[in-house]
Amino acid sequence: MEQNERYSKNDDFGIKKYLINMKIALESRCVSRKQCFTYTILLFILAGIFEIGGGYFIWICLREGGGLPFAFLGAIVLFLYGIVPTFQPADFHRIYATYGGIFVVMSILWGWVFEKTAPDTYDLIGALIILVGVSIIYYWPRKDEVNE
Amino acid sequence: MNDIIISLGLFFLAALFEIGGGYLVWLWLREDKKIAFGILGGLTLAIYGIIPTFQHANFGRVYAAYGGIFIVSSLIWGLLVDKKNPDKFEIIGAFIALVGVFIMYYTPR
Repeated sequence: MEQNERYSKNDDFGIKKYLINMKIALESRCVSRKQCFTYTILLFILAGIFEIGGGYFIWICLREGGGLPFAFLGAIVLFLYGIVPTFQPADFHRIYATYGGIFVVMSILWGWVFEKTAPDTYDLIGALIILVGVSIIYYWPRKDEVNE
Repeated sequence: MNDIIISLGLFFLAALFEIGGGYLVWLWLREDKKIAFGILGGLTLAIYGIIPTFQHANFGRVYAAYGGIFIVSSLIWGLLVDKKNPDKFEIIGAFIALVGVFIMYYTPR
């Protein structure tokens, strides 16, 4: 509830109050570590959809002559993408790398589905190597951390 | 060689705009700054969306390779802005991710 007070100073047209109430409602369901992990990953996938989708609309406008409405739509979707990470629990410095990994996989799938550009061998090898790097960043056991 | 430098420059420029724009939105919503921060963040993110269109490859490959650059950029951002030194395994993982980017994006087809 203290967060409500924190947000009250510059409450732009009630946007913040609305968003923070949504965040509290969502986080109240994230009670165990496992559920919290699911919540975090779902937020990253949502962010990926908005980021890649927004970028794709701008791509359609500039690379495929899709017209200005696509660019505006893309800008709005990218703005929404910027809001999604504010729903993340504060302590998430390393899981950002996980987002990078999710992003790589989603991008390849996006291009495959919407642009019909199937990944070639080098795309797949490169993606796998990136995922190896991500796994080391995220999963390598550190001495200073308790494994739960 | 020049092509590689230009496209790497574009990748890191995109990361700067993406993380910078996201950070401005974060300041607006999480640090209780005025809505001007949010709007500026939105504009920065829109500019971010323009940058990858200057790359030559297809959409999926450009964005997937950018994901690898994003991993490295997040660690650099953490180092510079949050003063959080990456540990040994974060540095190793980031280098491996870069190898993946090079294979995916810079292998001559």
